[in-house]
Amino acid sequence: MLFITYLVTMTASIVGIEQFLNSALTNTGADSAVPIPKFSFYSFPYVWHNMAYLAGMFKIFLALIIVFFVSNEFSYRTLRQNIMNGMSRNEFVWSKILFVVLLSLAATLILFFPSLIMGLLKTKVLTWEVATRKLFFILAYFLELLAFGSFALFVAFLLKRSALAIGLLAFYYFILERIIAYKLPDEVAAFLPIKAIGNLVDVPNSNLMKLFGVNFREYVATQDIIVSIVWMAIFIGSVFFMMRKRDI
Amino acid sequence: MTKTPILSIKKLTKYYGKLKALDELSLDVYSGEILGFLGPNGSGKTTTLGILLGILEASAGSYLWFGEPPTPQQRKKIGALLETPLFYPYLSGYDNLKIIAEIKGVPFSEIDAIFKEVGLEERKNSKFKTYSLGMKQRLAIGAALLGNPEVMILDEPTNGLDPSGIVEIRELIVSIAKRGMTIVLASHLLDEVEKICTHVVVLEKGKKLHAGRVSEVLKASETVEMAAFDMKRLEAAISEEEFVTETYMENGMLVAELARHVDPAEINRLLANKGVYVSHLAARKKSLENYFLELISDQHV
Repeated sequence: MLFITYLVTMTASIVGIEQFLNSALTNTGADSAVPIPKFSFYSFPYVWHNMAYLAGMFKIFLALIIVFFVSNEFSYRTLRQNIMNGMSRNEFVWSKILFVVLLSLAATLILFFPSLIMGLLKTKVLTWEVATRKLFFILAYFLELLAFGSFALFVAFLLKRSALAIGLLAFYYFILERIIAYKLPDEVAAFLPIKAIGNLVDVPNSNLMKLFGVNFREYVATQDIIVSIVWMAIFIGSVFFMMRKRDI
Repeated sequence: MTKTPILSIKKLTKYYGKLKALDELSLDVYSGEILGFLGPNGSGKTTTLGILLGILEASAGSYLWFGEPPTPQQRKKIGALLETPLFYPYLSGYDNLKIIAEIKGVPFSEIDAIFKEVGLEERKNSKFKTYSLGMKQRLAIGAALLGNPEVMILDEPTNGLDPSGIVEIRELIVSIAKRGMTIVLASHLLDEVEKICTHVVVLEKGKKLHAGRVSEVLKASETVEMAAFDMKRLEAAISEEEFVTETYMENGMLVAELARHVDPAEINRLLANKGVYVSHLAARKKSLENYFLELISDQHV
């Protein structure tokens, strides 16, 4: 169910965003002295970055799917039954990690193909170089989902109940880390999990952004990659550790 | 030469916070036994079974399955039903058993036979959540039977069922037992243990109160109730006999506990020789229930 909601919202956003941005742009442009060029959200190579960033905002849906998927095993106590039947605890954790990987992969492909099609349709001068130049943003998006999925996995295993886990996940994602990040100097805050994961794909540096005089990164920073992978390892390691001796 | 027990428990202890749920429980189960775990609710039955099935961690002590330290691999040879049937509610009965077969490494072709055995053939493609309680329980026993395990662990298999459901499940267990499978059955119903089991362990507050063959437990608890005009003389006379372990009054009758079986006619003759003539004499085979209640209440006094 959630996955369907995710698909619908994603598709709607992908198709609707250019329309929205362009109309916003036109409205602003009306009062502006400088003529603003109409830009295409979908043209290569920017489409990879734009789409990866846009899709990144919906990753919370995937996290919810993961939380439900894990906490159901606790609340229906099927985890118990599976362990009793001879599954080892590590096998169980691996099965959930596999789920996170497959879900991330599926979401990445769902992003990749529409982006590809849009790019092919909307790019005026099409070359192989242009089409693949920013393709690494799709990989960064995949890593973003994996790392965020590991966070969801950790929260779900920690709290076992879906309502609690979703509450904590949302509270940390929307509120707590923002407060912590606000209190810390920027260089330190960049090491926080959600921040680092979110930084993987920075805000696209479109004409619209240049208009506001903001300049965002157009590359994926090595530091963010490393920090995200370290957090991922910490989350998954904690899950294994939690499950080692726990009563289930 | 001693046979290796299928299951050997040594000083198993479990704390839930400060509460001691299991207190140094030791016991051995041998192949072919049907062991009843008897005890009131909260006596540590489910805790013990949970530890044996790898879902709870013991605070102290150890246990061996098939003579070896526990591994997940061993659990594939154990069929288990703990408390309530645990299945994915949104999947069909058949799909649920497929998951279990996958874990246990049992070919899917065996699943149909299981549905036949537990009488759920017609409902195998219905979602689990649409099953009645009795059907859920039967599916759980079927799941436990998958892969023809060497040992079955059944925890309160008739809990919450209506009388016909209880009979159904008991018949199923007895038919399984006839195949020579070793069964550990936890129950707070004595009648159930008495009807099904060969051996019994009585638990209370996590402590083992008694263990032995069901038939021995019954034999050891024979009593005779008597009445006579002069109850004091009767008591004095009967207490002298070597086979009497204890006497007490109950509902105006004198009850004597016997160490072994003694024919009532013999008792009558012995008393008559002493000049005591009884007005009432009845041999009573104390049921396990009385025995059980006594064991429990002894601890409270």
